[in-house]
Amino acid sequence: MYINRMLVLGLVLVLVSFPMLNDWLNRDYTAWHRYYIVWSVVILFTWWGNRSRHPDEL
Amino acid sequence: MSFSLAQVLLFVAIYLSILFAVAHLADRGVIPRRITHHPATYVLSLGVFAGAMASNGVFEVAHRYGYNFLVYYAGVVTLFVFAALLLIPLLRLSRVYQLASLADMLTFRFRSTRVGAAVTVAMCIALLPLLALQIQAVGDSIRLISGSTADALHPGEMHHRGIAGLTCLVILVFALLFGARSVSSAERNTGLVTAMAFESLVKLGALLALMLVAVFAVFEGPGDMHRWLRESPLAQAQLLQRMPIENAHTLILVFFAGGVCMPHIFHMLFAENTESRDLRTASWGMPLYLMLLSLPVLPVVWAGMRLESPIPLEYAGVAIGRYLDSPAVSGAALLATLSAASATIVVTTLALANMCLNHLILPLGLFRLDHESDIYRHLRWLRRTLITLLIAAGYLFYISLENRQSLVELAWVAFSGTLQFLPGVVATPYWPNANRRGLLAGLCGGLAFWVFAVMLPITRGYLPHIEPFFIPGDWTSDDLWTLATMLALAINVGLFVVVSLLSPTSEEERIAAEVCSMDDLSRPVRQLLPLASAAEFTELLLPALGERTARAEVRRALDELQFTEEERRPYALRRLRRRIEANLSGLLGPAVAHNIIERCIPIQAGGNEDINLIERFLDNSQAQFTGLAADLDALRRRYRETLDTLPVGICSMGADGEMLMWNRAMVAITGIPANEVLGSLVTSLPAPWGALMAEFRDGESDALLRAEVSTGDVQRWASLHKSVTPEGDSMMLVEDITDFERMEEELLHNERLASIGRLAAGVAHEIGNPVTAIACLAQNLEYAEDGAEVGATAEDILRQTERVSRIVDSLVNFSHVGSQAGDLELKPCNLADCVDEAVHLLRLDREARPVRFDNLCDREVLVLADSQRLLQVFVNLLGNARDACDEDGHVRVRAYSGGDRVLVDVEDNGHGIPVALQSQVFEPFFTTKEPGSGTGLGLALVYSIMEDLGGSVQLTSPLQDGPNPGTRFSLDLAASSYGEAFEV
Repeated sequence: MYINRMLVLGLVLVLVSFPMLNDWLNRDYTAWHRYYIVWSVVILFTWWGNRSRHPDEL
Repeated sequence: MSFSLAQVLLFVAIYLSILFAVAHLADRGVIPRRITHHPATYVLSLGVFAGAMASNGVFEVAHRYGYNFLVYYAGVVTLFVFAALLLIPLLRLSRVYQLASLADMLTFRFRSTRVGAAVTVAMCIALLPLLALQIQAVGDSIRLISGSTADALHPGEMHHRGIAGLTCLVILVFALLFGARSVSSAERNTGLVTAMAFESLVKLGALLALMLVAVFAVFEGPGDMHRWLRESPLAQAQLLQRMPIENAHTLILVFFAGGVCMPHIFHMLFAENTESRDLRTASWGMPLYLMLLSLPVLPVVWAGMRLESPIPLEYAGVAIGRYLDSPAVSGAALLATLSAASATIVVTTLALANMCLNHLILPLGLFRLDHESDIYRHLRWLRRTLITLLIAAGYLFYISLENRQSLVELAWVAFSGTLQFLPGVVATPYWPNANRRGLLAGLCGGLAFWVFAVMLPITRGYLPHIEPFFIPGDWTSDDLWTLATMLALAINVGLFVVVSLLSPTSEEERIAAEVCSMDDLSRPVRQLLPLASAAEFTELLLPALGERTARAEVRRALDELQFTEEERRPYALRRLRRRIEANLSGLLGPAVAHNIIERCIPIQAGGNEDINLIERFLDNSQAQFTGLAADLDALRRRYRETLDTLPVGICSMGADGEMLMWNRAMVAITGIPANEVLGSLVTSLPAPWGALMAEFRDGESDALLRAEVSTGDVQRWASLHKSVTPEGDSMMLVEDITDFERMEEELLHNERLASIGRLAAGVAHEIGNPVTAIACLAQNLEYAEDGAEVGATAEDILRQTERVSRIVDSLVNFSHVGSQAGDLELKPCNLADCVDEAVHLLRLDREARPVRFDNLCDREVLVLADSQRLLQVFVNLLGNARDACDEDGHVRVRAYSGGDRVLVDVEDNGHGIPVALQSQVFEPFFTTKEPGSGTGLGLALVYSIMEDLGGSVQLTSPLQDGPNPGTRFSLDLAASSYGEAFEV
């Protein structure tokens, strides 16, 4: 089975950073933008992981 | 300010008309293809996931759980971020096998019509609350915009029902017009995709507009909003609300499952898209879209809270519009709800209609297709009828609820119901041991518990009684719903696993599991089909599809594969069969399609691995190999390249004669491109290769040293060698020996000219004598007076002239051999005459050593040979024998007949050939004679000519002890008879 290394890396990063991230998100209840910063990072990470794929490698 | 009901309905009609126009223009090609087929359009069309739950329900979730409303998006975002794990494998399957719905996929994987029917029925039940949710959201919005108070949203209000009914009717018209136009559910519906993308844009625009209004009109800008957040106890209470972590995880899982299992998402994800590139774009594009869609949620909720409107927060947009007395803001709120709800209703009913048609109506025989009439038209009308029934069912379900449930509760029922399909979906690419019994047991168990513990309690307005079975505690209703959902899933998974492990799996399921498996361990097999050409497909499909449909489907598959009806290659026929099944699967569902194909075009027993297909898979997967696998693949490529670039032609074929390999040298030698050969039968190769290779493959000999492979006017020769594997596959080496043959012919000719040169003196002497005699006789004639004397003299002159003519004829005859290169003509020849002719020619050489030639051949013996080439053989052998002898040399030629062969011995009493040199004497340019007295080509030509004649030559030396041990050359020739001679 082919394992996408970017995905594995992403999962490891999420696992490692989750406690710190959770703490940072909950520190200020009015800082709603922090959730969107995390979300944007996820989007960027996903975009970067898919940018060099062959157009139709299925 | 509020709208009248007529104004609102006009607004709805105008919006849906614009949607019609967009879809119509996209279908007609007025909207450029670069827009309709742009990945962004596809990504936006996936926004159909965000139905009324996203435009309204999520406000309520944000109000109740603060930032935890994001779990609604987190599930789908996770699904798309990790698209490579689930979505891409499913897209591969759905694209290759034209699977347009979840029921199609599970039916294909578990090879059971019962699975398809069960999934379809369960999905219809699970999605009724989703349809009711959309209808309720639109109906309530319209009621509130048209001036009703929140109290007016009470159950059973006839006016309310009428508005919802009218809305359903308008949406139904759109669904019928643009949803059910494609006859195949697997075809891309450009108009629908573009319209859904447009709806997503409208929804996003409307929500962003509401956000701006909330921030700048309800609050006095971001600063004011932030100040309110810090100071308001309401805001603090809302933002500090936290959902229990297990509930949050359950919600993420539920929405994750909804993102792939819900039929409308599945339809847009896979049926309306076949490009993995688009899905790759969606893996970050969809999270981006959802992020933008979620941005307005908190500001709008905060604005709604600040206004303290009696209108439920689900309709906070309408509340803001009414507070500001702004028709534009109210219109934006309605637009957001309308676009979200209509998109969900249209695509959901379309997808469910396809599932009902392909897995209930057709397989269960609820409707018989008339093969003589237009099947496509029947299917289209069936689909339209089903869409109508489904929207009607959703509406009736909505009425039966009597507005007792919030949008969030309805969404929870629908999403937790579709969660029950997740085990089957995950097992499709990841668990080859799963079987249909396990799936059905799990689905039945899980769905039964879901109906008992989630659906009935929520829709009937009571809490499930499941907490007594667990640790007593302070269970909230949210905890109970979460617990019930996870219990249903646990029952489902447990039964699925246990029953799958304990019950047998059919061979058919096992094959399908391998096809679907991520590891793809299956070895493609070269299946044997009971037909010889593409044209026969129509005839075989005729009983099942009728002439018109069968012809149309075969034509369609041929066009897609760019084949013609004359196509006969087994490989191409297998591809055609698969394509027809895939196309029928899109039309009638995989179960019916598989049944038709298996019945009409059954596969014969046998077949080996399809090496070409395996190689193609490996080539396509090259980028995915890492480590040892990558090294092995690199090694494979190196060997493949080596075989491809060898200067010798290499081809291989299966035991059934199907060509498996054809390297570049074969292309150069034969002039036939590899793509025309691979996958075809050896017998179907163009002449002369087809017959030659097939005969050689079936023959016992492992070598064919000289085969004429002329095409047109070009003469060519090739030598062939073969080996056969224990499985019966053949490997052939083909060498182009045309240049070698031509050179040999040239050498033969040169050797002959050299012989003529050596004979020249003898010829001059032989001709000189009769010419002198003729001259004398002519002088005598001058003085002859007697008529009888003149007559006798004339007769003498004629005799001498004949002698000259015979010598000249012999020379001309001998010299012609070399000029007719390659023109081998086997005819019955008199062996003794041929030997006489050779002796006669040799005797013309006056300088040669005089030896005694004895032709002891039977005068009646005939051999099958080319007389001129056989003459060359004897000239060379007898000449060598003479040169090897002393003054008292004696050369004998004997012939022995035995059956269909004749053995000719040419013996001399010369000095013999040393044993050490015997292995070289037939090599070109090898000679034991003095320099300048021999070319070294004589025996090489003898060997070559004997091979051409289908015979052989062997050397024996010494024949006796002593100073003149002698040498014997034994020729083996095919015998002939007078009968054959006369026929000739």
